[in-house]
Amino acid sequence: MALPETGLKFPDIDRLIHEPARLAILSVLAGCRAAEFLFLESSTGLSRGNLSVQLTKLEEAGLIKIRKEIVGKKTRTTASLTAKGMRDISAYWKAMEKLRLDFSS
Amino acid sequence: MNTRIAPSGFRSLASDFLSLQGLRQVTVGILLLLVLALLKLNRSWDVWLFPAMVVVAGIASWRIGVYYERRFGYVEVRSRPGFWGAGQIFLKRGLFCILMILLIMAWVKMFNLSLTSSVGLVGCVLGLLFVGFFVTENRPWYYLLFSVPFFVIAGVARFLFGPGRLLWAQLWLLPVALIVTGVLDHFRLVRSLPGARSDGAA
Repeated sequence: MALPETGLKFPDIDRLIHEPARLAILSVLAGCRAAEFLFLESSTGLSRGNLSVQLTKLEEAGLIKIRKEIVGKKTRTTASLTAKGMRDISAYWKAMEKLRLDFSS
Repeated sequence: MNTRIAPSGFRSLASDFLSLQGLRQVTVGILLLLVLALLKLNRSWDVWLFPAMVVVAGIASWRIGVYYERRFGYVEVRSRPGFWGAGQIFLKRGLFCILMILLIMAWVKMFNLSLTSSVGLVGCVLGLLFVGFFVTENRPWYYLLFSVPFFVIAGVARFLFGPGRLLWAQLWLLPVALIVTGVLDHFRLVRSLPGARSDGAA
Protein backbone atom coordinates (compact mmCIF):
# COMPACT_ATOMS: atom_id res chain seq x y z
CA MET A 1 0.00 0.00 0.00
CA ALA A 2 1.43 3.35 -1.02
CA LEU A 3 1.88 6.11 1.56
CA PRO A 4 -0.31 9.18 1.03
CA GLU A 5 1.19 12.02 -0.98
CA THR A 6 1.54 15.09 1.18
CA GLY A 7 2.72 17.47 -1.50
CA LEU A 8 5.62 18.44 0.72
CA LYS A 9 9.07 18.57 -0.80
CA PHE A 10 11.99 17.34 1.25
CA PRO A 11 14.12 20.45 1.79
CA ASP A 12 17.57 20.73 0.28
CA ILE A 13 20.03 20.37 3.11
CA ASP A 14 23.51 21.74 2.54
CA ARG A 15 25.61 18.65 3.27
CA LEU A 16 28.74 20.70 3.75
CA ILE A 17 27.11 22.49 6.69
CA HIS A 18 25.09 19.50 7.92
CA GLU A 19 28.18 17.52 9.02
CA PRO A 20 28.30 17.85 12.88
CA ALA A 21 31.91 19.03 13.18
CA ARG A 22 31.48 21.74 10.53
CA LEU A 23 28.09 22.72 11.94
CA ALA A 24 29.69 23.17 15.38
CA ILE A 25 32.45 25.37 13.91
CA LEU A 26 29.99 27.50 11.96
CA SER A 27 27.71 27.84 15.00
CA VAL A 28 30.61 29.12 17.12
CA LEU A 29 31.62 31.59 14.41
CA ALA A 30 28.01 32.77 14.04
CA GLY A 31 28.16 33.99 17.65
CA CYS A 32 31.22 36.21 17.27
CA ARG A 33 33.11 38.33 14.80
CA ALA A 34 36.15 36.02 14.81
CA ALA A 35 37.49 33.17 16.95
CA GLU A 36 40.99 31.85 17.43
CA PHE A 37 41.91 28.30 16.42
CA LEU A 38 42.42 27.47 20.13
CA PHE A 39 38.90 28.64 21.02
CA LEU A 40 37.41 26.56 18.20
CA GLU A 41 39.43 23.59 19.48
CA SER A 42 38.23 24.22 23.08
CA SER A 43 34.58 24.72 22.24
CA THR A 44 34.05 22.02 19.60
CA GLY A 45 36.28 19.41 21.27
CA LEU A 46 37.70 18.44 17.87
CA SER A 47 41.29 17.28 17.55
CA ARG A 48 43.72 19.75 15.96
CA GLY A 49 44.06 17.65 12.83
CA ASN A 50 40.31 17.24 12.34
CA LEU A 51 39.66 20.92 13.07
CA SER A 52 42.31 21.94 10.58
CA VAL A 53 40.82 19.72 7.86
CA GLN A 54 37.28 21.01 8.49
CA LEU A 55 38.42 24.64 8.48
CA THR A 56 40.18 24.12 5.15
CA LYS A 57 37.00 22.61 3.65
CA LEU A 58 34.91 25.53 4.91
CA GLU A 59 37.44 28.04 3.61
CA GLU A 60 37.54 26.37 0.20
CA ALA A 61 33.74 26.56 0.06
CA GLY A 62 33.95 30.30 0.77
CA LEU A 63 32.01 30.03 4.05
CA ILE A 64 34.81 31.26 6.30
CA LYS A 65 38.00 33.23 5.97
CA ILE A 66 41.14 32.46 7.93
CA ARG A 67 43.51 35.18 9.08
CA LYS A 68 46.99 34.76 10.50
CA GLU A 69 48.62 37.53 12.50
CA ILE A 70 51.59 37.91 14.80
CA VAL A 71 50.63 38.74 18.39
CA GLY A 72 53.43 38.92 20.94
CA LYS A 73 55.93 36.90 18.83
CA LYS A 74 53.32 34.18 18.30
CA THR A 75 51.13 33.44 15.32
CA ARG A 76 47.44 33.78 16.05
CA THR A 77 45.12 32.03 13.60
CA THR A 78 41.57 33.31 13.63
CA ALA A 79 38.56 32.29 11.58
CA SER A 80 35.45 34.30 10.78
CA LEU A 81 32.30 33.81 8.74
CA THR A 82 32.14 35.39 5.29
CA ALA A 83 28.93 37.06 4.06
CA LYS A 84 28.21 33.87 2.10
CA GLY A 85 28.85 31.79 5.22
CA MET A 86 26.43 33.92 7.22
CA ARG A 87 23.76 33.60 4.50
CA ASP A 88 24.23 29.85 4.11
CA ILE A 89 24.10 29.04 7.84
CA SER A 90 20.91 31.13 8.18
CA ALA A 91 19.39 29.32 5.18
CA TYR A 92 20.41 26.00 6.74
CA TRP A 93 18.62 26.78 10.01
CA LYS A 94 15.53 27.95 8.14
CA ALA A 95 15.48 24.67 6.18
CA MET A 96 15.87 22.67 9.41
CA GLU A 97 13.10 24.65 11.08
CA LYS A 98 10.80 24.07 8.10
CA LEU A 99 11.58 20.36 8.22
CA ARG A 100 10.75 20.27 11.95
CA LEU A 101 7.46 22.12 11.41
CA ASP A 102 6.49 19.84 8.51
CA PHE A 103 7.29 16.80 10.62
CA SER A 104 5.25 17.94 13.63
CA SER A 105 2.19 19.05 11.57
CA MET B 1 33.55 16.31 19.53
CA ASN B 2 31.67 18.35 22.14
CA THR B 3 28.26 16.71 22.45
CA ARG B 4 27.33 18.43 25.74
CA ILE B 5 25.79 21.45 24.11
CA ALA B 6 23.37 22.09 21.25
CA PRO B 7 24.31 24.18 18.17
CA SER B 8 22.61 27.20 19.75
CA GLY B 9 24.83 26.62 22.80
CA PHE B 10 27.94 26.85 20.61
CA ARG B 11 26.73 30.19 19.38
CA SER B 12 26.03 31.64 22.83
CA LEU B 13 29.33 30.23 24.12
CA ALA B 14 31.11 32.52 21.66
CA SER B 15 28.80 35.53 22.09
CA ASP B 16 28.79 35.30 25.93
CA PHE B 17 32.45 34.34 26.28
CA LEU B 18 33.38 37.51 28.16
CA SER B 19 30.45 37.42 30.59
CA LEU B 20 31.15 33.74 31.35
CA GLN B 21 34.64 34.61 32.60
CA GLY B 22 33.50 34.38 36.22
CA LEU B 23 36.91 34.73 37.85
CA ARG B 24 36.85 38.44 37.00
CA GLN B 25 33.92 39.01 39.37
CA VAL B 26 35.48 36.70 41.96
CA THR B 27 38.36 39.18 42.27
CA VAL B 28 35.86 42.03 42.72
CA GLY B 29 34.15 40.01 45.45
CA ILE B 30 37.43 39.28 47.24
CA LEU B 31 38.45 42.95 47.08
CA LEU B 32 35.06 44.01 48.47
CA LEU B 33 35.49 41.52 51.32
CA LEU B 34 38.91 43.01 52.09
CA VAL B 35 37.53 46.56 52.05
CA LEU B 36 34.65 45.57 54.34
CA ALA B 37 37.06 43.84 56.71
CA LEU B 38 39.25 46.96 56.79
CA LEU B 39 36.22 49.18 57.42
CA LYS B 40 35.01 46.87 60.16
CA LEU B 41 38.38 47.01 61.87
CA ASN B 42 39.04 50.71 61.46
CA ARG B 43 35.58 52.24 60.88
CA SER B 44 37.13 55.30 59.20
CA TRP B 45 36.97 55.58 55.44
CA ASP B 46 40.41 56.06 53.95
CA VAL B 47 40.28 58.29 50.87
CA TRP B 48 42.83 56.07 49.06
CA LEU B 49 40.94 52.86 49.70
CA PHE B 50 38.46 53.13 46.83
CA PRO B 51 40.91 54.24 44.08
CA ALA B 52 43.36 51.55 45.25
CA MET B 53 40.61 48.95 45.01
CA VAL B 54 39.66 50.09 41.48
CA VAL B 55 43.30 49.91 40.33
CA VAL B 56 43.85 46.43 41.84
CA ALA B 57 40.53 45.21 40.36
CA GLY B 58 41.57 46.57 36.94
CA ILE B 59 44.96 44.85 37.03
CA ALA B 60 43.41 41.59 38.29
CA SER B 61 40.75 41.69 35.57
CA TRP B 62 43.41 42.20 32.89
CA ARG B 63 45.55 39.29 34.17
CA ILE B 64 42.51 37.02 34.39
CA GLY B 65 41.61 37.99 30.81
CA VAL B 66 45.13 36.90 29.75
CA TYR B 67 44.63 33.57 31.60
CA TYR B 68 41.31 32.91 29.85
CA GLU B 69 42.80 33.79 26.47
CA ARG B 70 45.77 31.44 27.00
CA ARG B 71 43.60 28.61 28.20
CA PHE B 72 40.56 28.86 25.92
CA GLY B 73 41.66 31.09 23.06
CA TYR B 74 40.80 34.53 21.76
CA VAL B 75 37.30 35.58 20.68
CA GLU B 76 36.51 38.84 18.91
CA VAL B 77 33.06 39.73 20.16
CA ARG B 78 30.52 40.85 17.58
CA SER B 79 29.42 44.46 18.04
CA ARG B 80 25.72 45.17 17.97
CA PRO B 81 24.61 46.07 14.46
CA GLY B 82 24.15 49.80 14.08
CA PHE B 83 22.31 52.38 16.12
CA TRP B 84 19.18 50.29 16.61
CA GLY B 85 21.16 47.31 17.91
CA ALA B 86 22.77 49.42 20.64
CA GLY B 87 19.43 51.16 21.27
CA GLN B 88 17.73 47.82 21.85
CA ILE B 89 20.04 47.07 24.78
CA PHE B 90 19.35 50.45 26.41
CA LEU B 91 15.63 50.04 25.75
CA LYS B 92 15.65 46.58 27.36
CA ARG B 93 17.60 47.82 30.41
CA GLY B 94 15.45 50.96 30.68
CA LEU B 95 12.20 49.00 30.52
CA PHE B 96 13.56 46.57 33.11
CA CYS B 97 14.44 49.43 35.51
CA ILE B 98 11.03 51.11 35.09
CA LEU B 99 9.20 47.81 35.61
CA MET B 100 11.23 46.99 38.72
CA ILE B 101 10.74 50.47 40.22
CA LEU B 102 6.97 50.12 39.69
CA LEU B 103 6.99 46.64 41.24
CA ILE B 104 8.95 47.85 44.28
CA MET B 105 6.61 50.82 44.70
CA ALA B 106 3.62 48.48 44.61
CA TRP B 107 5.37 46.13 47.04
CA VAL B 108 6.18 48.99 49.44
CA LYS B 109 2.60 50.24 49.25
CA MET B 110 1.05 46.78 49.76
CA PHE B 111 3.14 45.86 52.80
CA ASN B 112 3.52 49.39 54.15
CA LEU B 113 7.31 49.15 54.14
CA SER B 114 9.83 51.92 54.58
CA LEU B 115 12.05 52.34 51.55
CA THR B 116 13.65 55.46 52.96
CA SER B 117 15.62 53.45 55.53
CA SER B 118 19.12 52.62 54.31
CA VAL B 119 18.55 48.89 54.88
CA GLY B 120 15.42 48.88 52.71
CA LEU B 121 17.04 50.92 49.97
CA VAL B 122 20.35 49.01 49.88
CA GLY B 123 18.47 45.70 49.94
CA CYS B 124 16.28 46.68 46.99
CA VAL B 125 19.21 48.05 44.97
CA LEU B 126 21.36 44.94 45.54
CA GLY B 127 18.42 42.62 44.88
CA LEU B 128 17.75 44.50 41.63
CA LEU B 129 21.40 44.17 40.67
CA PHE B 130 21.16 40.37 40.65
CA VAL B 131 17.75 40.33 38.93
CA GLY B 132 19.25 42.70 36.34
CA PHE B 133 22.15 40.31 35.70
CA PHE B 134 19.59 37.60 34.92
CA VAL B 135 17.16 39.68 32.86
CA THR B 136 19.38 41.99 30.83
CA GLU B 137 22.71 40.14 30.72
CA ASN B 138 21.39 36.61 30.05
CA ARG B 139 23.09 35.29 33.19
CA PRO B 140 21.97 31.88 34.57
CA TRP B 141 19.13 31.23 37.01
CA TYR B 142 21.36 31.16 40.12
CA TYR B 143 21.68 34.96 39.93
CA LEU B 144 17.98 35.15 40.77
CA LEU B 145 18.54 33.05 43.92
CA PHE B 146 20.98 35.64 45.24
CA SER B 147 18.47 38.47 44.76
CA VAL B 148 16.06 36.80 47.21
CA PRO B 149 17.99 37.36 50.50
CA PHE B 150 18.47 41.07 49.69
CA PHE B 151 14.75 41.58 49.11
CA VAL B 152 13.91 39.55 52.22
CA ILE B 153 16.28 41.62 54.41
CA ALA B 154 14.83 44.83 52.93
CA GLY B 155 11.34 43.56 53.69
CA VAL B 156 11.91 42.42 57.30
CA ALA B 157 14.16 45.36 58.26
CA ARG B 158 11.35 47.36 59.86
CA PHE B 159 10.13 44.44 61.98
CA LEU B 160 13.50 43.58 63.49
CA PHE B 161 15.84 45.32 65.84
CA GLY B 162 19.33 46.38 64.85
CA PRO B 163 19.00 47.75 61.31
CA GLY B 164 22.73 48.48 61.43
CA ARG B 165 23.47 44.78 61.67
CA LEU B 166 21.13 44.04 58.79
CA LEU B 167 22.90 46.65 56.68
CA TRP B 168 26.24 44.99 57.42
CA ALA B 169 24.71 41.58 56.64
CA GLN B 170 23.71 42.89 53.21
CA LEU B 171 27.14 44.40 52.61
CA TRP B 172 28.85 41.10 53.53
CA LEU B 173 26.41 39.12 51.41
CA LEU B 174 27.23 41.11 48.25
CA PRO B 175 30.88 39.97 47.85
CA VAL B 176 29.94 36.42 48.88
CA ALA B 177 27.23 36.38 46.18
CA LEU B 178 29.69 37.78 43.61
CA ILE B 179 32.28 35.13 44.49
CA VAL B 180 29.82 32.20 44.44
CA THR B 181 28.16 33.24 41.16
CA GLY B 182 31.59 33.96 39.63
CA VAL B 183 32.90 30.50 40.56
CA LEU B 184 29.72 28.90 39.17
CA ASP B 185 30.09 30.91 35.93
CA HIS B 186 33.71 29.77 35.65
CA PHE B 187 32.84 26.09 36.11
CA ARG B 188 30.00 26.45 33.63
CA LEU B 189 32.45 27.82 31.08
CA VAL B 190 35.07 25.12 31.75
CA ARG B 191 32.41 22.40 31.50
CA SER B 192 31.20 23.80 28.17
CA LEU B 193 34.70 23.76 26.71
CA PRO B 194 35.84 20.11 26.83
CA GLY B 195 38.66 20.64 24.36
CA ALA B 196 40.38 23.26 26.52
CA ARG B 197 43.90 22.81 27.81
CA SER B 198 44.00 22.20 31.54
CA ASP B 199 47.42 23.68 32.26
CA GLY B 200 46.79 27.09 30.75
CA ALA B 201 49.99 26.87 28.70
CA ALA B 202 49.67 28.41 25.28
